[in-house]
Amino acid sequence: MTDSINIKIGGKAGEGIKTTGLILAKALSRLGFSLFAYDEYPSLIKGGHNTYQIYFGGEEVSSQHQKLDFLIAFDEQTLTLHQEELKSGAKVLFDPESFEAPKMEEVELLPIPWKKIALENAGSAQAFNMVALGAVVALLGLSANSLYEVITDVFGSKGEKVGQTNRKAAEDGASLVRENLNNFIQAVDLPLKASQIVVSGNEAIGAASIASGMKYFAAYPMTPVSSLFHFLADNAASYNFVSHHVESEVAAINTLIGASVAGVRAMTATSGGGFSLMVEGLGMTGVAEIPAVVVLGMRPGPATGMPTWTGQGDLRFALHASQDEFPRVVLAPGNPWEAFELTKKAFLLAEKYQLPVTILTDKYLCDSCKSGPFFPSDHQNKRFGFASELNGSFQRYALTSSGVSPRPVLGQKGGASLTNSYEHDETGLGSEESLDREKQMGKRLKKLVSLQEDLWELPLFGPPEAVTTLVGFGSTLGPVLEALKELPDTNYLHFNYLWPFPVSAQKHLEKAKSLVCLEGNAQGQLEGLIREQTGIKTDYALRKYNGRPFYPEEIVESVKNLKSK
Amino acid sequence: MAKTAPKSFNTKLFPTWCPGCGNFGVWAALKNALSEQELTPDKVMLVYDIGCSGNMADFLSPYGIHALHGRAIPTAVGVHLAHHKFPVLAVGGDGGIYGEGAEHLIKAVRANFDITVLVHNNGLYSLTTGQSSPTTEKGKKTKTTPLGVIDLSFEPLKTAIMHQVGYVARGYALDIPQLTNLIIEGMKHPGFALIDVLEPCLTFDEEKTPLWFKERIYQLRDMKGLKADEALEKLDEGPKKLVTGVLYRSRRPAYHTHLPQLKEKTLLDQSIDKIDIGDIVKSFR
Repeated sequence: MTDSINIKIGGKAGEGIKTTGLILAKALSRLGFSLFAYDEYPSLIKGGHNTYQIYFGGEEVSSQHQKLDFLIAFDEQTLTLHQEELKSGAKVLFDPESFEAPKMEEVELLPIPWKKIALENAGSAQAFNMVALGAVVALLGLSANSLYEVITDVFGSKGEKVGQTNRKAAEDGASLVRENLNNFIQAVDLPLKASQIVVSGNEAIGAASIASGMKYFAAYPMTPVSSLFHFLADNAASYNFVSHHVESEVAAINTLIGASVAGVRAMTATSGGGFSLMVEGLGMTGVAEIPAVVVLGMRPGPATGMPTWTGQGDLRFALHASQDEFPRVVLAPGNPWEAFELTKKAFLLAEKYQLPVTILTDKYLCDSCKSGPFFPSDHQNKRFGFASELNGSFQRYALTSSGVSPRPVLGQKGGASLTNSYEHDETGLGSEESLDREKQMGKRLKKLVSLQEDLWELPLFGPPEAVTTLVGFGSTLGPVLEALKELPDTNYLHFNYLWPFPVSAQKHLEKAKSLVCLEGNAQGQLEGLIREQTGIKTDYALRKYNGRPFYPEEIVESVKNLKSK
Repeated sequence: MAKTAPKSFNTKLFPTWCPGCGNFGVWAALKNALSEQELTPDKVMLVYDIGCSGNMADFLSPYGIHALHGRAIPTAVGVHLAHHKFPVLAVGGDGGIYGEGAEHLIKAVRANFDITVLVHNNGLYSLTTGQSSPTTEKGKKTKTTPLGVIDLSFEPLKTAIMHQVGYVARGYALDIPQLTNLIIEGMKHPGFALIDVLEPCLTFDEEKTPLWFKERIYQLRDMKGLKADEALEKLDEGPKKLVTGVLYRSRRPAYHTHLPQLKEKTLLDQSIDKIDIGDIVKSFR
């Protein structure tokens, strides 16, 4: 019996690795396991090496791990590239007809001719990956019913026959194990868990944006946010909003500006390159006081960078993008459930304070899936900042104590006014008078103070008092929570928002005995921000910028080594 | 309903254009067109580009957005999709609409968004003191092209006609009655309306004076529009003869008519008070 199992599926791009992995993940989730699924893929359509990794167990899990219990090798390269990751006693499933496995010690090589089985029994060689899944589930001593159910859900939409073929393939995989490889079955305990969902960061943001009453979404496809775009495009007609594939990221932010000024909630999503093109428009939402929600899914840059990999190198860019100064909010969710909550919060903050809110994610959060409780279904949305009865002369940029001026809904009687990208006076008309500039800049920056009432305390994970305090932002949360399981006397201060700089950070940082700052960039952008805003210098840095997320093992090792110094 | 007097669309600011600038003509025609359609400042959205033309933002009182340079079209498209029953005009110049924002014009003619775009086309960047624009004729010497413009000038009207947009017209800034009608017809026409307005720049263009235009311009009286190939031929007569009037019309359905979610209500009219995402959540199982 083991607490948790780590499975990796590998093969060539175009072989359906992701679909295969997700089916297994959903089947395990329906059995009640807690799981985290992480995939890696190159920027290619065919060929190249893809992997999908599922870490699951009876207790809550929150990231991928390095060492594997199972490797499902759809090609020889998978075995070559990942044999170092195999635990002693790990099982390697492969098709003896596609390659000959080398002799390996302390590893169980399980040949399963899945292509032949799929072709001869199920009638389609393409269903070979389902034979493999049936075999894995049987090797874990689990009922395959959940797997069959998910297969029917996923393939059923492609026609009854496709569903049946794939189900048959999975059944044959399971039978083969029970008949021929019975000795290798190592049953895992079934957890007793409530019904749960498996969801990625992008799906969470998409679902929350619909729940928030977003009516206009505009984007240009870009990894790693394309799956968010696909999700929203699929749901637009049934949930009565427009998902608009525009000509460029410049058009995305500027159409968003138009829709938002008219009075609907609007969002766009991109990665660093596209965000670069949106920068001027972002500044316009600042000076013209236009609610805007912008999802920035980071990947290694600059320029085209490493399109399908992860990183946290755009923190400073998100904080400073565009000329001059204006109030903005930057949120940094750590997992899909926090992404759901913070996306709802983003729409509220953007509308209430009439400013841009950036949801800073990364490829790791965008694409990785986690199991957990159902999101709430019913949502109520209160609207903010709209002018009520207008009589007499309306001033779009009236000076107020909060810095927020009521705005009209397009067509509202008495609300005709100019929303201006130029500096302006209270009416909205362009002005280059020094006094108008000072008044309007002052008014805008007041919002950074007034919005404090809608911000929150940063969460601290682990014991309130600890010898070592880890600090990080966004998706680093998952691997750190896994690492904390192995690190006594250690806690984690999770920056789930970065700007305005969280007031509550100071007291936690001052109290900490030894601070380790973890982040996915080379120059310590969070570390620098903390020092700039609090005067506190963190003691150690753990930085990673090779396109890969943190692994709990490397966090544990680094922290333990710090202590031995 | 009584018409609003054209002057009631004025603001507290008086135009800062050079004396005799063609922009005064476009300004007057636009106000006339709004007045003739019995629109009030609350019943129309004007989105302005950056440039002498876009500075009209400060001189007109309706709902407006003074957008970024080149971005009047996408900004107007966003407004339009949020409230597709509301009249939306984009006002810009040849620099913003045909140059910096040309990608948006191309998308708009492909999509046939139901908005009206009014382009002050004087063949120069005048707010920045007279550099060449996408419609400056080949060979013309300007501050940034001292050896003469090398590029062929862009043909926006041909581009629009070839993509079968709803309505394509050309006016002349100093013919206010004709331009008024062209704007009214463009706003009424379902689908994208591109109205190119020829305009002299008295300050930076010594060659193309009002007299130069007067000798070349003629009007199409029929407002129905020509067949595409006839319209393209007429445009080829330039610069010896400059056709004005309605060049082309099509009944191609506008972009928003293809979206089922806009069949009944505008996005703006849809309540967001209560939203049930239960089906989405279930699909994550």
